[in-house]
Amino acid sequence: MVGPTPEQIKKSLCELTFVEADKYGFEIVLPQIYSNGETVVVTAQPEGDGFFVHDSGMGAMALEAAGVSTSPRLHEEIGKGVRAYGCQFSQFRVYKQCSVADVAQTAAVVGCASRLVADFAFQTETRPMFDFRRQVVETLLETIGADRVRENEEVIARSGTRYQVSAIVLDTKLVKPAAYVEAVSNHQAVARKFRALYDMMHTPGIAETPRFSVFNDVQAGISTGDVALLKDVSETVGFRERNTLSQITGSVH
Amino acid sequence: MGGLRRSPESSRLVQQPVSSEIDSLIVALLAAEKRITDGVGWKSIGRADYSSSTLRVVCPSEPKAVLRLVMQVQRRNLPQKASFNLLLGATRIFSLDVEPRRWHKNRKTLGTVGVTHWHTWPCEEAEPDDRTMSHKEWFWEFLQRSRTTFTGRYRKPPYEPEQLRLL
Repeated sequence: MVGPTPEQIKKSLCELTFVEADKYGFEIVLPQIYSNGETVVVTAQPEGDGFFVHDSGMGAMALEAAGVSTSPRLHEEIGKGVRAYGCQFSQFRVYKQCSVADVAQTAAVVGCASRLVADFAFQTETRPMFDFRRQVVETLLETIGADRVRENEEVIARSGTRYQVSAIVLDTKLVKPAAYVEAVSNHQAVARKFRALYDMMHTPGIAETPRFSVFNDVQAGISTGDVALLKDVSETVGFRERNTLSQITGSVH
Repeated sequence: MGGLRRSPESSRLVQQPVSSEIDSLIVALLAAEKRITDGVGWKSIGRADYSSSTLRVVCPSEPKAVLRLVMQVQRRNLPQKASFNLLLGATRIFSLDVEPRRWHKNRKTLGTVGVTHWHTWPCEEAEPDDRTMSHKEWFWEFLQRSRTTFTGRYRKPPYEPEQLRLL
């Protein structure tokens, strides 16, 4: 096989690295890219006898551009990963201080840690493409009919709390509710929905009306424990592809 | 359902459709009229270098789609770097990178683009755009290209003093 020599590969790699003096110190382009295709660039600022090398928040920008909400908890998790590289993560910036002799090595390490920040996009829970509540409501509209389904209706329960119920299915005479339907999109929503359903279950006048929890059965982190809790206050229905919610339609006809 | 043209098989959306369904849906979403009613609000607190603003995007013909416009600017560095990303869930379906710090590497061809560039789904190739415009002008250009109407209030990015001359 006629191929490149080690020297040629090294030369090509070196050509991907670029250093330019700017007003802050040096801008160092590394032979690395973020998953969005952007080149990894770090800045080396002179500080005291050494340098302060940082990524100008580029890793965090790539993460947020992927739609990830950087909560304090995620910030803490990112910090742990960044510290494994011997760097720090503060104010969404990856940085490391070093001596003059260590600038190149430190730039490489900061670049790696910056990529790690951006790659947290692949470790966090993926934001759904579709609004779960709307999927449930539209399925009800299709199967039961728009005249019998009311979206986001307010219910005042025994505790005095006002709840926006995902959908109310009316009886065939369109006079009174035949079922209350709550869409439970993920694990985080379980406690809130449980509270609403529990409160409604103890509200005179509506306590006897069937209640349904339609939970997201696809990658939503809803555990069997969550489903067991919801079962205490409602009939549970797993919702996934081409689900017609027949359990609900069967009980309200 | 709305007015998007999709195959009968995809008429019922699911949480994570198979790839071909996503493709056809995204193409339809990009072609559909969309609207933003939120005003631009820049989030800078706790961020040493950049600010970001996220706006909800509504597609009336496909209300189940979770669309957002995520805008970012680097506040300190020159030249002014800004990005505009239209996301479906966490998937980038249309974007604009203004004055990238260095290069964008195209995954397919491994070619590089070192100027302002656009990405259209599936966002594997960068389309260069060598114009120089203000953030507001790029914002309107992005809205126009993505078929999005904006009725909110636009606010300038909070650039730090050295960048003010570029506004």
